[in-house]
Amino acid sequence: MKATNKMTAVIAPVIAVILIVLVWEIAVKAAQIPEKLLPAPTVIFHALVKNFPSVISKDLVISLKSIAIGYAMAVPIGFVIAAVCSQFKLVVRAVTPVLIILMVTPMTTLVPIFKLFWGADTFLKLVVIVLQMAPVVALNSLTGFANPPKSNVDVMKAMGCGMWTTFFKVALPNALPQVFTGLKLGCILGTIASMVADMAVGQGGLGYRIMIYASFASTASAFATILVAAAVGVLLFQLVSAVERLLTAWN
Amino acid sequence: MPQFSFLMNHVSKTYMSKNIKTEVLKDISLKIMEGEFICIMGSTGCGKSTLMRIISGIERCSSGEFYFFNTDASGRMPPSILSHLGVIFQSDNLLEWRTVYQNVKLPLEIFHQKRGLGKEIMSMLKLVGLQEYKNCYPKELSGGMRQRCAIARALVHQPDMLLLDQPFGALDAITRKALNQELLHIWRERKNTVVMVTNNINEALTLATRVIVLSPAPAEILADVQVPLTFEERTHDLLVNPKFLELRSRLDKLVRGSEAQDGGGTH
Amino acid sequence: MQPIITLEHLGKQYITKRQTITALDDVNMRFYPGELVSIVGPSGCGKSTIIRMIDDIIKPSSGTITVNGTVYDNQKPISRDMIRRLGFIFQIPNLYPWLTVRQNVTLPLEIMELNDSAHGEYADQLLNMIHLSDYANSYPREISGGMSQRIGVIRGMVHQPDILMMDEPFGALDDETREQLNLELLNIWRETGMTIIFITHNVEEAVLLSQRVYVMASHPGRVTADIKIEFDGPRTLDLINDPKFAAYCNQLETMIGKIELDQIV
Repeated sequence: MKATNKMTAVIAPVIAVILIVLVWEIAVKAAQIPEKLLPAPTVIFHALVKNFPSVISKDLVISLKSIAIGYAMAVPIGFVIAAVCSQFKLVVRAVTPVLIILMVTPMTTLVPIFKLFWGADTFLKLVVIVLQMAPVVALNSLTGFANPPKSNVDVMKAMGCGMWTTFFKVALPNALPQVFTGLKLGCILGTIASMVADMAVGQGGLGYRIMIYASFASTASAFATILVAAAVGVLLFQLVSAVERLLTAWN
Repeated sequence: MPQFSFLMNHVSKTYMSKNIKTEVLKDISLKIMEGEFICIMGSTGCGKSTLMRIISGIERCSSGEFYFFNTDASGRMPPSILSHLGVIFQSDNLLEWRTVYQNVKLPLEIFHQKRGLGKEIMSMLKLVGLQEYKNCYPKELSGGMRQRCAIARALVHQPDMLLLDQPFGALDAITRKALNQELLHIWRERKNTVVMVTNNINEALTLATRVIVLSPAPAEILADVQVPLTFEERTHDLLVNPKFLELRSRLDKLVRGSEAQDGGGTH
Repeated sequence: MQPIITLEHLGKQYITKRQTITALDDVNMRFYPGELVSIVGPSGCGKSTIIRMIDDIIKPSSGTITVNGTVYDNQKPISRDMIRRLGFIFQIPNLYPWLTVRQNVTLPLEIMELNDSAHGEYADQLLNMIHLSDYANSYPREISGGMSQRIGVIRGMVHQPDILMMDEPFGALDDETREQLNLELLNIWRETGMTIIFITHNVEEAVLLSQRVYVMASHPGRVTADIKIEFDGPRTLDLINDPKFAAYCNQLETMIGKIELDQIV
């Protein structure tokens, strides 16, 4: 029973993707849509094979680097903000709406302003990515940290544990599912932010490459790059999910 | 001469909310000797759980003082005292992300008792019959098993005094009686001092050497009843023992009587 | 007198990959019209399974169930008429939060299409009997746990069944509230004359309520005793201090026996 469920969980989406690609291919061929407007999947695949080793792979490395560094900075920042704020009820109330506002603000809109100070620099991309990721990590962690189960807190109190022992033994492990929601949202928003930052700042990266291809009307190559960008998002998300499953086996 | 484990002088507790004063405990004085098993009874909402939360250092009293083993604990509970106490709550309060073994280990981590760690935990799990479940998570256990895990956790650091707040209230009657017997055996073997809140007269008389009855809120001590039953009498045919029946009807009147008084008092 | 319910050689096996678990083994029980009978036993003895079989929620693996002369057929679901004669009360009241107290109580009437005014009046009468008429238009979140439980009880009998099965209805309540509800149940039983099968872990509760008690054991679930409970006076809380009451409790507890720790599930 369980084994078949797992099989269908894998096979069903694969079949769905194959069907969509097939319909796309047939429709484009049948309606004779010009390649510049919407290339067929086979054409995109050829463009990918042709351009990946020499061009797209370099942009992929640049993008992965900035997302990874951004993530490595945003997660501790968001985490520490949440941990500290969660210890004070009043601060939780004050900070929560601010984090929500930061979270929904598209940080890439700040690029034109930042450009005035720093010029078009890779550093600027990092700032944008971190600003986009950190609030969502902080907000979700904060919600988790701020509401540890009262019954468990009583156990710690009865053993005379202080604020931080209680935090590490109860609030943190209890909040892990919520923390990971933040981490997963963070990697999605971060990937998007990095693509848009590439377009606004330049200096290489998948977003930049898509823009370049599009401006030269190499639609197939642009789509091929988009495909790579999508794969990056999916892989990062799966990576974080795998770590989550490992750490929250009890749930 | 037997030593006292716990001494409480004129303790009161008043809550303030929205400028309304609610007096929960009124002038409670209590002396508990080493090795006694005390049950505290009283009608629902009379403040017996509040008294327990104060004794276990979760809440502070508004006035009065109390001592554990000659150390003043009424201000802030001294850390040196806490490791001598084992606390069991109304719900089992297990940490869901820790296995049975890790839950029992918790007090040893907090009190930095690393010596013979694994051995002590396993002997505790054996005592409550959970050794085969040591790698299970709490949600995989039944209510009775969870509460037994909580008992093991409260005993693992070998406390001198156990504080139990209606520990078996959420269990079915048959499991509850089985755990009563288990606790009786543990107490006889380990000779801890025990203070337990319960609302079940049979449970109190099975376990306690002395029963304290509290009045409805604000709680005062209404009666202090000795229970002169032997271990043998507590484990066999207790329900038809004449001594038990006499004590039972006396306590029944005290606890119920305090309710009737409460009903009259509200008008 | 003819029994209203007869269980003969009732058995239930669960077959898993590794083993066959015998939940019930050769259970024989009789319930007479107007009786209040309790079934006590440790967790896992199958006492809840028995009343679920009578209510046709679970099918037995072997044996027969005869209710009011009708033998349950393992192949076909029981008739609607039969279902209307049965009432079932669960441990958790499961009230619908979006319905008022009265709408919750009358829900079974709607489902069974008993929308006449006589049944509606009976619902009000029941609400009155448990002193909750004032809360008829309240929502479940506005009332206490004990009140919800009482609502659950009268909801299970609003369609005027002949037979009421109660699966540890007061198990989750504190002792005081439970005793109060026991008295109310005795009152309802006297006024309606229903046959009640009451499942409980609580020996005192069983002795206070029942005319007869079946004691069960687990591994495999089976009946170990059938004890008549008789008192001279009325059933009130004063009975608890009666030596005869204590003797019955002690007898039942001895019958249930010592439960080993590893048998607690």
